[in-house]
Amino acid sequence: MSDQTLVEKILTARLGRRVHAGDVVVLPVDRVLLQDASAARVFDRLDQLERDELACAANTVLYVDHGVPAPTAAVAAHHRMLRDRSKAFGIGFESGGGGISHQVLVENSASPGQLIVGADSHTCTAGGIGALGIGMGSTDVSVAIALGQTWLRVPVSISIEVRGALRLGVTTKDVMLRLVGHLGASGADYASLEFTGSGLAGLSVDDRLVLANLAAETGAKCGLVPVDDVTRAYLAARGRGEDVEALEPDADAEYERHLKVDLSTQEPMIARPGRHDDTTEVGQLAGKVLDQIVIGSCTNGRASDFEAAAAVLRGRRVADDVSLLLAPASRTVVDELQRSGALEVLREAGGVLLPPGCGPCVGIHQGVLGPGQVCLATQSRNFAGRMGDPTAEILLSSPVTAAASAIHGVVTDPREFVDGA
Amino acid sequence: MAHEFKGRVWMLPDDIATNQILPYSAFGEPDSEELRETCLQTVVPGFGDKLEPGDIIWAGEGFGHGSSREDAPRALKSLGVRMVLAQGFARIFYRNALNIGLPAAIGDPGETRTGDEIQVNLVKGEVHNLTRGSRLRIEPVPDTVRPLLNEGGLLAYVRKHGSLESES
Repeated sequence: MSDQTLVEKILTARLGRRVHAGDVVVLPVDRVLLQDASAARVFDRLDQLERDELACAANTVLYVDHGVPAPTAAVAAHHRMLRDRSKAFGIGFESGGGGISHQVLVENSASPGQLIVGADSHTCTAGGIGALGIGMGSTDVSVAIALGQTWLRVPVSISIEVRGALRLGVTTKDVMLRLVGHLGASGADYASLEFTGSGLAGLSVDDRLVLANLAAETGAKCGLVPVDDVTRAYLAARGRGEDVEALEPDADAEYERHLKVDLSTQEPMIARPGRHDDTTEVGQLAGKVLDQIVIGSCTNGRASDFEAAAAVLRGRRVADDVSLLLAPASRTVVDELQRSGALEVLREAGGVLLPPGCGPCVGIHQGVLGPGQVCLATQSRNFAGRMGDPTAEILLSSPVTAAASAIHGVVTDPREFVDGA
Repeated sequence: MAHEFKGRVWMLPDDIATNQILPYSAFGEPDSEELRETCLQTVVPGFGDKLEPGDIIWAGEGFGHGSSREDAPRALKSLGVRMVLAQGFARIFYRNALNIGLPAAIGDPGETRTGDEIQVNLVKGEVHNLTRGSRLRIEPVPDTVRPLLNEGGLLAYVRKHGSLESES
């Protein structure tokens, strides 16, 4: 019997008995992640549970990433409370500046096959290295910390077979914007989005984390990429991965649906303001005047994202009337950009470097939008009010499109620059 | 076990995000005044004032998508929403609602309109529209989830049973 999807394989291994889509199972949790905007609620629930011991406290870390550095005195006081309470609970505490939970976890500690529960909807990002990351609310997460277990229904899977190679100026963000537009914001509710196919071999872990991260925007429970030599090389470069085995779905796994993506025919995509699933080709909105451009977030704040932006901006300048904000997903990303020289290129072009963290995507600091302002950002969400005033407009694109648009100050198809035309 | 509810319906459209149910306030827990003024305000202006305790929401597809914030179902419950029906739920919202003791079930509202009086039986999967004299089928609450409803939420369940195991 070998006809399992990736998520069935991971859950079967974690549980020690065979599971099938639709089963409701109680499972041990390997890691729990908390973040500063939701952790206080988790702690409240822990108080209410009144447990003498917290089974998973040692494998739980609170990352201060949403409001870092503190934008107000009240948030600063909140952070201090979170630090004190984390220590009292025996929970790890990352005081901020290290980066976004999802990115730091993948860089430093997540392993393929693990079950990771997080009090943040983008916990699915770890699926880019074959870890099963699932976002949950405060009560679920508090129970995971207290009991070291969680319950879930084994999801049905949608396979996305990826073939071919991306052309210059096109990224996995464009692939996902098209897919999110195709599926819709709740088109994959409860399902596992599983990426397969020969095209994956040409995609880096940075690329794959985008695939997994944006699974959340289709309503999926998780997004999973098989574990292969690319994954192993990424982990090995970070001192892990020696004993990581390949992990892929069985050839005759049962899927609810099959979708096919030919990377070689993808176009640069953009989401119109208000809905992240209202996507179209960049050319359709070309010329739209922008006030602010943000490259960063847990979706697109990795070294390769900034390097791709730097390749476009090298020797060029950001247009006078726009600001280009750079919000790296982690301190490690900043280090990499410093070493590669991309940071210098971006700064010379006029980019403003923000501290590692969620940055302007949270809508409380570091580039809050005023009434009627228009922002092109590389994050995952763009509903009214996400980044400040509800009348501000947010468009979503790849870092390459964002960089090209920064040069003209209007929405711009990046192939104008990357094709050398 | 509380599985029968009678109340007045509020119909809501498809694709309501958690941030429309309750606008994002990252670091504080909103007080009751703030809840009343902001909850679903952009969808139904004045919702917090018009809502009466015991009312039932019947939403379209994808109710509660977006962030994982438990504050969204909690806001509805605090304002007095008795239960939430939808043609489809975002998965985190569905879990959160049941976890905090806000009953949630999936079903098509048919001809039901805002202001109708309905009676819902979550175990049988039946809705009786008292205003129109019609009956609708909805998905009964799954057996696996029913213990949560019985205990009034996940915390109460864990406090009583000390484990999740008996749910599987």
